[in-house]
Amino acid sequence: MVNARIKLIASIDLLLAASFGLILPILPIFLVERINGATIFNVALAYSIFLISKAFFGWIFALFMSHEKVSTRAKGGLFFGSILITLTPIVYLYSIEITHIYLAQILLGLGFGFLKTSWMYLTHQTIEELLHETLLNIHGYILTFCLAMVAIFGGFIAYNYGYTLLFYTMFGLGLLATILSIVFLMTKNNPTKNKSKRKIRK
Amino acid sequence: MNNWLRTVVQGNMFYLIAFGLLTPIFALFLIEKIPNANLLTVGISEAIFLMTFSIIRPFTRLSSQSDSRGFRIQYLLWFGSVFIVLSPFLYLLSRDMLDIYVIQMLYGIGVAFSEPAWSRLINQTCALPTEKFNEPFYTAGTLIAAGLAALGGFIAQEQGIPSLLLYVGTTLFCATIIMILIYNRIGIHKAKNIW
Repeated sequence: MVNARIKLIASIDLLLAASFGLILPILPIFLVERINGATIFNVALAYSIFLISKAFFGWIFALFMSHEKVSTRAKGGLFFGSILITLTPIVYLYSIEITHIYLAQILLGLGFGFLKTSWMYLTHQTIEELLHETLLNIHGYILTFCLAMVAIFGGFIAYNYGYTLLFYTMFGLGLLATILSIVFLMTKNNPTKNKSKRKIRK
Repeated sequence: MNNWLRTVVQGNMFYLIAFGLLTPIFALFLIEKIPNANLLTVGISEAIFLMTFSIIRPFTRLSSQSDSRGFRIQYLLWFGSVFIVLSPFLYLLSRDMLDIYVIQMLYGIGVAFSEPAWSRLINQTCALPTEKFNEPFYTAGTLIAAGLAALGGFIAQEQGIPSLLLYVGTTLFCATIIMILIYNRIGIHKAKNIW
């Protein structure tokens, strides 16, 4: 069954995705309105820089993590990934030129690369192998629905109160996720409990 | 399984889900083309797509769960592909934000209908990851999406967004045809001839 660790780790991913999802639909408009010299090509390039850095750093971190001390490195990746994603809205807020936005996108890709790789390992470690696919499916449905809700909320905040409050909201959500990740690092995995449940199910 | 086939399936799936070249500049297209578009309506239009997708997806997954031979998933793929291919051409004809909401809903239905077939193809073309580090598993698809996003920005800046929409519609048509052909080849398990 679902234990506290699974709830925590699912909440961390949801909160960080919601934090990024607030700005995601309206990021091109923000860049064109507020950043000096931003064109359509620059906006698309910023998006592709994020995707490339996410794939690249995720791959490198997976290799680094699988080398030795896997569990410790995965926990560290979760913590530092959430910190990097939390700091990105501040970089957006104080950026003036498009180069700063590129740097922010690289930072965001680094954070998501760390987070996704370590998140996948930690969920594998926490839940049974048979239930892992079910967890990923249900988490995917909830994540998509959460992103939909957050897209409306982000548009509402930016339209009525401006971009500054939107970035502070993103920072607050990220901070909450970071605190939850610290709580997750302090909890211990209890393999004996899982084994006993497995026996009962059989 | 063949690595090239796996890359083609992943790249096509990412292209179709991320709406190919259009995703990063979709908000700018709405602001330029649609009279009443603002930050709130752009957020709502994105939310409508995601909400439709997330509501319909469990039902399509459930309906295709017992389909071991894959014919029902194939019909869903055909209908979903039609919706996906139609949507960029419908964007060109849209005049109001309400049109955009309906098109986003259609696109969400299309992606939710096609998703079981894509995941079945991914499962059949990729060997299941034996280790727990399966993040590099989708690297090829992400990199293809990144390259296409930059290309989309370049085309939009040089030729304008309407020509980009035409280009996206044509390429989406090709991508869906490739997915349907690959599904016909490896997705369906035909029954043995008992005679």
